[in-house]
Amino acid sequence: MIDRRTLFGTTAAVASAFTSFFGSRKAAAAVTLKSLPNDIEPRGTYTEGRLERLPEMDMESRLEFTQGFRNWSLRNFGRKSSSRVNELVREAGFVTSPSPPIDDVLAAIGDDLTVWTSVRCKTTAQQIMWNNLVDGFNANKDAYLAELDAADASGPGTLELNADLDIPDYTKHEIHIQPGGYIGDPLGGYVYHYGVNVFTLDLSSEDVFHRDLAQIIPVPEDGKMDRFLDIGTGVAQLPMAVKERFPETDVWGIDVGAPMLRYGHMRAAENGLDINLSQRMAEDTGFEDNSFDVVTAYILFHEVPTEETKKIMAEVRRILRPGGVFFPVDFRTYTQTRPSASGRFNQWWDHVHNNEVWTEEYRASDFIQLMTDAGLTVNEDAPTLQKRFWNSVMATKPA
Amino acid sequence: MTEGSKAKATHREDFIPLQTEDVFLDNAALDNVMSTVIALGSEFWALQKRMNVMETLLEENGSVSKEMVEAYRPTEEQSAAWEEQRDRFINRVYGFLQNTGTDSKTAG
Repeated sequence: MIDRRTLFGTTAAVASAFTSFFGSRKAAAAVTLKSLPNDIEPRGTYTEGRLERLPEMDMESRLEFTQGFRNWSLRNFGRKSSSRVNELVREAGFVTSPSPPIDDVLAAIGDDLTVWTSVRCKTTAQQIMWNNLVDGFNANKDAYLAELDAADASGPGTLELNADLDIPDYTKHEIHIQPGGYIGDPLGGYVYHYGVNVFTLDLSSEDVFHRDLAQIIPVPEDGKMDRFLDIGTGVAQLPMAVKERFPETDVWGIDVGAPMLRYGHMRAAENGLDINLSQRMAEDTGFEDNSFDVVTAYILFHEVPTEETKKIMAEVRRILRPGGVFFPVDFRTYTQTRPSASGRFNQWWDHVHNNEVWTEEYRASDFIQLMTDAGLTVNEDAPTLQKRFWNSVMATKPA
Repeated sequence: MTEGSKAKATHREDFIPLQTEDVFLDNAALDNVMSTVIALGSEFWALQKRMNVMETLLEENGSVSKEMVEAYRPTEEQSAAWEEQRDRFINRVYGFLQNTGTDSKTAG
């Protein structure tokens, strides 16, 4: 096994050269990961030291191909396909912006070969990405489970798991067609993290987006930031970044998926970040009233049915202290931005073929009104990294 | 607690499997062949990348081992060059998929 310190300091810059909606890659201070018992790190870490390199070069190379093919599918073939969608919609007698209803868009597309071949490419890129990661990590499954077992009891930071948690069906889908979704694959955290790096078009992102996002999280007017919570925290990249920005803050993250939290806890411990992760439902967190200064949710609500969103909003209001801030970063809803026909088609693909089960319901909802209905005071001009893409909303709990 | 029981306690078997039909080209066989061809691209690139690393190591050291290949870290210049090589490969091989007979009507 190669010692990470032997490799640390050299570089493997494999980042995309272009800026995406998720921001551009920025240089940051390199860190050295802490070694935990049963640690598997045969190839060291990526450039900044925050993320372990994939365990085999072939696995990494396949992922690089997937990234390149996805880029090509979206930016070369995808542009041609989008032009074709708009052309067909116009030929059917509709304007393309804003889009007509999706049924009309699909009828206009019919069996057009350009559009559906492009969709085939995009979908297959997603499938081969997951296949590669699932196959690669499961080839050494026992060792990774042993790594997680050891990390569960390691610090800094804490991990609370609740095997008896009553998990509602809406959380059980294979979102993004990830095999097993967020709850069904014990190695799902590993698979998700490296997969989502491809989705964000930056293979070795090393939490770049989350660190950028943490820098713009609004703090309450009185400046008090003693306790922070991220709901639907996934593999805990945001709370890790928040802890770096606010070292004295008591940082929490909750999620329904134990595989995600276990992996997130391991990474937080390796990065020396003292954060608390707990397997809880966002609708019923179990935290005390008025006990958090800031609550965030990063790309959670488009994975949640509207009725559950209402419950989560009420819970957020309950656990925020008066003057506390709620910062839910997610995609823009149709009340905020009406997509073009090609954009609407891409969103339909995401919903149906990328298994974003609740995203259509989310985009059709009046998210701002839901926050208002929950008794929160909404600000529609919140800090954002890309207003064209993100919802740019925040709310405060009235005094 | 054993690894098996630990794994059982920390993930769920009752996830809801994907049920969406995955056929876009009115012929499942054609969809499957396309996916296979794309997947083979990822396998080819893994071999190409391994070849790149082996050639580099042989030039630098005159010898190569599996451990050296796995441990190798390309320079920034190599990474950029290999990324360009990958993108040219993708354009060269998969560009054919864009030939769908609609170019006369569609601005690329």
